Amino acid sequence: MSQADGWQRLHPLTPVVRAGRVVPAFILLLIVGHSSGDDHATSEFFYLGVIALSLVLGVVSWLVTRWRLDAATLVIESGLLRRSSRRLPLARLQAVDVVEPLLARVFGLAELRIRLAGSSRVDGRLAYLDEPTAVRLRERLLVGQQHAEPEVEPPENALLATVQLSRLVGAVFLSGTWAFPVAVVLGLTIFYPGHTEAIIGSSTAFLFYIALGLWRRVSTDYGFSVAHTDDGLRIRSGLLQTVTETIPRARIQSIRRIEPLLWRPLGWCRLEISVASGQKSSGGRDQSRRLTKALLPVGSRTESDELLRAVLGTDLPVLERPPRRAFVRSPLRCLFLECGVNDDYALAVTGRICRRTCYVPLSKAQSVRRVQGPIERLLGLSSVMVDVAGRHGGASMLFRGIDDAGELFGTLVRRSRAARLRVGEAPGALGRSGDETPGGPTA
Amino acid sequence: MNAQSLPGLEDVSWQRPSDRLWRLRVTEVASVAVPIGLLGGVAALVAGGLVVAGAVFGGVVVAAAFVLLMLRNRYKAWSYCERDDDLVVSRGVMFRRLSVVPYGRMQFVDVTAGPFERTFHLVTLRMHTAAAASDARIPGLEVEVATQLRDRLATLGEAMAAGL
Repeated sequence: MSQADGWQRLHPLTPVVRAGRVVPAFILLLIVGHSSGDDHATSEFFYLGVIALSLVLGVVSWLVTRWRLDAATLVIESGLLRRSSRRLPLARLQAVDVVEPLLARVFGLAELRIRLAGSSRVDGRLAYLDEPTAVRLRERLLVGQQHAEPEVEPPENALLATVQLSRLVGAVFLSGTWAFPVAVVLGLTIFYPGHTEAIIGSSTAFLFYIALGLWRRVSTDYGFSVAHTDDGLRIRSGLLQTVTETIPRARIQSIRRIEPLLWRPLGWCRLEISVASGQKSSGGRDQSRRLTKALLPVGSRTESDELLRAVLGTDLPVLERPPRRAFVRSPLRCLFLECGVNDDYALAVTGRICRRTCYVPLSKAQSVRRVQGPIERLLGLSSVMVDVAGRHGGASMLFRGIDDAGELFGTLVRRSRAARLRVGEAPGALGRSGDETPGGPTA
Repeated sequence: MNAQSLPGLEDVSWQRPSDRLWRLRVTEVASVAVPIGLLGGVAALVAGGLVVAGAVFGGVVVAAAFVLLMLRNRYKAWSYCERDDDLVVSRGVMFRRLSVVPYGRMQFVDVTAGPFERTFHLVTLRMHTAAAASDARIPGLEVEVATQLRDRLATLGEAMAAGL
C-alpha cells in the first residue's frame, strides 16, 4: 500500500468521525438513564464499550480501504472479510457530490460520492477525505468531462440563483403535508374538550415526527445556491450537513418545473433536474432523493426562468395549446396542457392539480412514441411522448389534434436525430460518452 | 390514422410478424377456452340439465370468438420497419402506438420465447433503451429472422452508440 503505485488511504480521522455519529444518541440515552435513576456505572461502561468497539471496527475498515485514480478509472478497494474492488470508469460519470456532515465539518473532512449512469444508488463513496483533497479529486474526476462542456461562455463561478430562508420556510409551510395531521389533532381537542391532555400526550410523538420532517426539509435546502463552474452546475445546500453537487451540463437528461397548487398564487415553483443515475421513485430514502434532484427548491417565476435560460443556454420553444376538444378527454389537465419544440429542446406542460413542465434536450431523447386511445380517436386527438433515460419524466405532449400530432412526431424524430448527430460530431467528443451542446455552436 | 400516413414513413417497407403468430394466438385461446367450455358444460349438464349446459357452452364459444376477433385485429396491427438509423414499431387497435427508437440509444436486445412460442418456433424481440418508457417489442418473429434482426440491431447499436 505504498503511495508510489498511486494507492491512497482515507483520512486517518475517519474512524473518529464514524464512531462519533453514535455519540449524540448515547448521550441522550445516558441523560434519560440518569434522570430515571438507574444503575449508572453499568450503562456508562456499556456505552463506552460500544463506542470503543465502533472505533476499533472503524480503524480496521480504514486500514483495509484504499483508492487510486488512474487516467480513466477510479478504483476503490475495501472490506476485510469480503474484499471488494470497485472500478468506476470516468467516461460514465454523471455527477460528483461532496457531502459534509456536521461532525466531519468540525474536523475539516468531507465525503465524496460519485454517481455513474444507470444505477439506482451512489456508486462510489470515499468517506472521509480532508476537504482540499476531496475538492481536488472532484476536479480531477470532472476533467474527463471537460470535452462535454460547450465553449465556456459563462464567467467562472457565476452564481445563478440562491434561495432566501424566509421563502424556503414559506414554501415548506405551504407544501401542506403537515396540515392534515395537525388538523386532526386540533379537531379532536375541540370535539373532546375534556381529554385535551390525553390527546396531546398520545399524539406528541406523531407531531414531533412531522415537525422533524419539516425541519429536515428546511435544513436540507438551507442556504441553497446554484452556480456555473468550469466543471458544470454546482449546487450547494444544507444547514448542518452541507452537500455540494456538481453536474456536468452535458449530463442533464431533463429539467422539470413543478408548480403545486398552493404555491401558484404566489408564483412560486420548484425546479428539478434529472441525470441518468436513475433514482428509484419508490423506497423510503426520500431525503437523499430530494438532495439529488432540486435545481431550485423554491423560486419565483422570473428567477426560475432566468435559471432555466442560463442552464439550457437557448431560448425556449414557443408553446402551443391543444385544441379545445381536449377538454372532453381530460378537463383538469386541459387547463395546463401545452407543448413546444425547437431545434434543441422539447417542452411539455402537463398535470392535473400540480402543474409540471418538462424540458428535454432533444439530443437526450431515448425514443419518440405516439399513442392514441379510443376516446382520443373519437375526438381526433393523439399524444406524442419523448422518452428520456430513467423510470419516468419524459415530455408528454398530450392530446394534440391529429394532423398536428403527426407533424410533431415527424419533427421530433427528425430533430432529435439531428441533435444526436450534432453532438456526436462536436469537437473533442468521446465516442461513447455523448454530450450535448446547449448554447454551444448551434445556439 | 395510419402510421404509413406520417411524414417520413410513407415509403418505407413495413414488415410483419410471422403468419404463425396467428396460429399461436388461436392455440393460446383454445388451450384456455376448450377446458373451460368442456368442464363448465359437463358441470352444468350434471347440475342443471341440457339447456343450461348449452347456454354455458355457447357463452364460452362466444367469448372465445370475441377474444379471437380482438386478437386477430391486434395481430394484423403489428408491424415494424428498419430505417437508416432507427427502428419503428407500430401496434395496437384500441390503443394505437407508434414508437421510433434510434439504434444508437439501444442498451440491449432481448429475445425471448415462451412454451407456446417455442412449439411454433417463434420468438419475441425487444429492444431496450435507458428509458423505461420506450417500448420496441416485436412478437411472433421466426427464429432466423429474429436472430438476424438481433445481430443487425446489435451491430448498428454499436456503430451508432450515443452515450447518456
